[in-house]
Amino acid sequence: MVRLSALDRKALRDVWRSRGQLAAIAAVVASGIATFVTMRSVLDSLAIAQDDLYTRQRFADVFSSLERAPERLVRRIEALDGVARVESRVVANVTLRTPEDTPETPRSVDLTGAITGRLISLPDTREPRLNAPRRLYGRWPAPHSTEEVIVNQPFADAHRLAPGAILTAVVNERQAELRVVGVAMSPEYILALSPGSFVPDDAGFGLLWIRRGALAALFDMEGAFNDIALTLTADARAAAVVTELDRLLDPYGGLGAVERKNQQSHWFLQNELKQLQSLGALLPTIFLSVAAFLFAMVLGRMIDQARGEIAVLKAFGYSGLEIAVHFGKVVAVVALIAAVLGLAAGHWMGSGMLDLYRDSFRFPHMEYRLAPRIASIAVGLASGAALLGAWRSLARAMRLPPAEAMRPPAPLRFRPTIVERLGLSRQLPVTVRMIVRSVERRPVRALVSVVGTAAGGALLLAGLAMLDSMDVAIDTQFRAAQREDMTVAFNAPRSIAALGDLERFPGVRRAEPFRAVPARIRSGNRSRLVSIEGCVRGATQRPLLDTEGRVQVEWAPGLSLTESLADVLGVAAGDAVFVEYLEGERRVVTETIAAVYPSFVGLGARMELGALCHSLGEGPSMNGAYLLVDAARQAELDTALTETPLVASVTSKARMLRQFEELTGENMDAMSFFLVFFASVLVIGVIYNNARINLAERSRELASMRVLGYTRAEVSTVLLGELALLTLLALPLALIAGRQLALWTFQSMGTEVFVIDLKIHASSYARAVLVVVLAATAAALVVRRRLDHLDLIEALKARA
Amino acid sequence: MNRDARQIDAAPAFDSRAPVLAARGLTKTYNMGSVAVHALRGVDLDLYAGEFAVLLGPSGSGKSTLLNILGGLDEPTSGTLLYSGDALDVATERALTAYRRRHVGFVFQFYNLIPSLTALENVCLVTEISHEPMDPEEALLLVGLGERMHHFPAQLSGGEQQRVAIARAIAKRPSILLCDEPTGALDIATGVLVLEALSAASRKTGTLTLVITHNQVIADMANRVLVIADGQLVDDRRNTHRKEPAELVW
Repeated sequence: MVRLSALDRKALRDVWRSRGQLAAIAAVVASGIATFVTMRSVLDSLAIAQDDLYTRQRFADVFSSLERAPERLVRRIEALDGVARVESRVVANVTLRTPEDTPETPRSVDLTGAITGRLISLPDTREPRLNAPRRLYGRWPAPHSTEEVIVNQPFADAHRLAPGAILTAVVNERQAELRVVGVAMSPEYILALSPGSFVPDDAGFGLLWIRRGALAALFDMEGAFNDIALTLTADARAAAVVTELDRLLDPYGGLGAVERKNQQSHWFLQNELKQLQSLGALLPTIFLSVAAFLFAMVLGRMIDQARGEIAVLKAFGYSGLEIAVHFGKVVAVVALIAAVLGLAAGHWMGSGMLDLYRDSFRFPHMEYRLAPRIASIAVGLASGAALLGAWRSLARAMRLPPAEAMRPPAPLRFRPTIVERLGLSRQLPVTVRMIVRSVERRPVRALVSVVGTAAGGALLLAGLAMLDSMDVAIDTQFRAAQREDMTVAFNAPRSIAALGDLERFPGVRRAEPFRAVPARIRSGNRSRLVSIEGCVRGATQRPLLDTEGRVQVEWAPGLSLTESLADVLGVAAGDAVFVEYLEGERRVVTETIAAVYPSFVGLGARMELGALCHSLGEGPSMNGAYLLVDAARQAELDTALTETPLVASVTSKARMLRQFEELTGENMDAMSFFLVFFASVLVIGVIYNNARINLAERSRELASMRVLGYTRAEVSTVLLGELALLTLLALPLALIAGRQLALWTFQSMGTEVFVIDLKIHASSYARAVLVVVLAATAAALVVRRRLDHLDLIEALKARA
Repeated sequence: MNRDARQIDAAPAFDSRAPVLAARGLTKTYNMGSVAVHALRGVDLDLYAGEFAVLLGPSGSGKSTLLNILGGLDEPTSGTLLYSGDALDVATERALTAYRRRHVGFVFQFYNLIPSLTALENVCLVTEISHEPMDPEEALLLVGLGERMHHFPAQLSGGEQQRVAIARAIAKRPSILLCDEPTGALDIATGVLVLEALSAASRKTGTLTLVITHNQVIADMANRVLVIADGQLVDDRRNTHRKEPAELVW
């Protein structure tokens, strides 16, 4: 058994004696470590799963959809500079019926609206070179099979589809029966969003891989392709390849190539990883900075108190370094305990957080992994924060001359505070003056307490602000911006007369047509691919909103852009932009920007339908409609829509909202809990330590007041009044900083896809204030209990 | 205010035959682990208004324990203690606080001034919670500190600090002034100044003043001298001739 040296035993006892304060600091350090470990381990686990899937399934670097191109074009694409491998495909959206969609067996999942299926071709006799689905079970469709498909796992799970199940797709006025033979996952659809949705919908959107020959036959695409993916050589410039590819595909209805970084599923994943990375840096920084200051405060006090001991040790011949190491060990013990706790908590929170991610990011295999590298960085961070905080005090202990250490520290010198010197406080009771002077006497400690407490409140408010803003954005989007019940998209533009057909569907109360056209909008050398949406004058389902969410009644003639698109292009209302329509005659026209409007969906453009069709060089046409639906006849309508060859996809707003709430509800609850928890840890850690040190330094003076006849409550006022003052000062700072933190976080998020304005409910401000005040009160009550046990007689004996 | 506090709040009687403080059979035993330390072993004592009494005794004789009990800082293990007829030995903590607040003035060996308050404010600390206190400035004038009332403790000498403490103690017009080694931390000249202040204050206010000290010389300025040894009062005599503090030499 190891025998501890006397000094080491003293170190352990010092830790034990100050256990309350050190535990409060350890909790702050452990929180910092836990947030670091959580974010970094989840980031790691996601990145490893991503990397593994991308590599094994040969995820492409550039993607493009087009109308139709002959297969021989592939040769020319392969010959492009910088292109490594090319895979052409046929991809088509259809409406699907699952085996459950029979009158006898009602659907097992609550599913309003029809199911959208995306058919993706597999080469007839081999596995795809690029974007190969990872088969999880079952088998590949037999070569040249016309009816066998493999489906993506979330869809299979949602409908309990096993090999052998039959799906019905409605294709070009006839129904195709498709037999499920296997289940797979795809690197292209880690986050699978159906057209027009921004929430993954496992049951409502299915991916089906089918042999190319069969799919080509269904859609008249023999010898042709409408989708292409390619990888690049190591030295290729992606942007140059994209330009060349667009040039080649232009005559064939190319819809604009995108680099991997803009591929939908990849973009969402990267954005999430980026957020994890910034949170993984920001949160630990806040916690560990506060912890460092707390270490400085507590160790400074510990060394003040141990002046006599230090003198004796030095007199006995211990060197300054040995003494510094001795106190360093006290700090190290706390840091290590905190690191272990933080690692354990981080592991627990990390695996829980990864489980939440499994609902949106569908990797075939994703294991939670806490790398030894991250663990050792965490231990390093904890020790670093501790030593950084303790450094000055340790150096002071080292330098303290033994003779001086024998004497008590010089008495504190006080002077009237600034407030008093200004003559503003002549009528203040002396207890209030004591409070104000104590704060001014120890400005750094007061500042640390205020900033630390504010950090707790700010963290909480920033988190609540995110939830509020998301809430408001979703509410505005679903209630004010998207007023329809369902959106129906056609597989090709139709005459506006098709609207009449839709209106005759069962349960349709109102139908408003839209014409969505893919286009590239260009201003100078900036350009973006967007869908320009044409709506009829007087349309009510998708109104343009102003910044306050109110309907803008007037549709100005010309092109209206979302604020983000206008920002990205660097244009404003009245400016002209080039519009390259990627459909029909593919005209390139100059349009004047009529208005710029705020929108949750980042990049978008709107026009009056007639004007849009005129620009395209067509008569009035539509390729979809927004429907208001009689809820009682929903099921009837679903069946009717599914059987209509015209319809390529159906989206139900209610369902999208429910999906969103299911996906985020759990996350938000967890997030709220941890926010409150961490904020409390910070506030309690700061306030408790401040109070304990204050109590230790002033116990004699407080006991004297008790002897003079002050009641416990009155004496508490002096000490706790100071805490209250500091907390009060911290509150406005917390609210301002919290708002700033939320703004900063929003700015670090990808804003081209979604735009969320910062909105903070009054209740969130109140909640942040309440949590700070409650946490501070809890800390104060613990100290108050000690205050009640002041030894009055002892205070009279001890010298100041 | 609760009932206990009200009981003790009764107006002090300055009848020379009715003692302000009356102790009977006071004992105090501390249990220090397995050993019982008998600090007081049955003290009977009556103290009257206007008296300037000195309690002499060597270290460990029990004089501080007696002072603490008389001042309402500690409770006797057995025996009774009456303040103007009200029992202090069975009073609650709250009642004792009220007793100290209204009726007792303390002067400590190490002054126990609040470093963050000026001399005047240290006095205000007490007058703010008293019923009919003196004007704080008047109290400081009484101890000869009219010039330095806006100085902080760190700017005052030891003697000046102790005089502030005396002003603080008398400003509430207490019935009892308890002084624990008031000159213990001071040199002779300064000590004399402090004793002069104490004597003047006592004479002007007619307060019962009890000074505990191990310095025999101080006894010469008292009109009553009590001697405690080993937890018991061993002598209780009256000085026929009181010396002025300036005449004292030690």
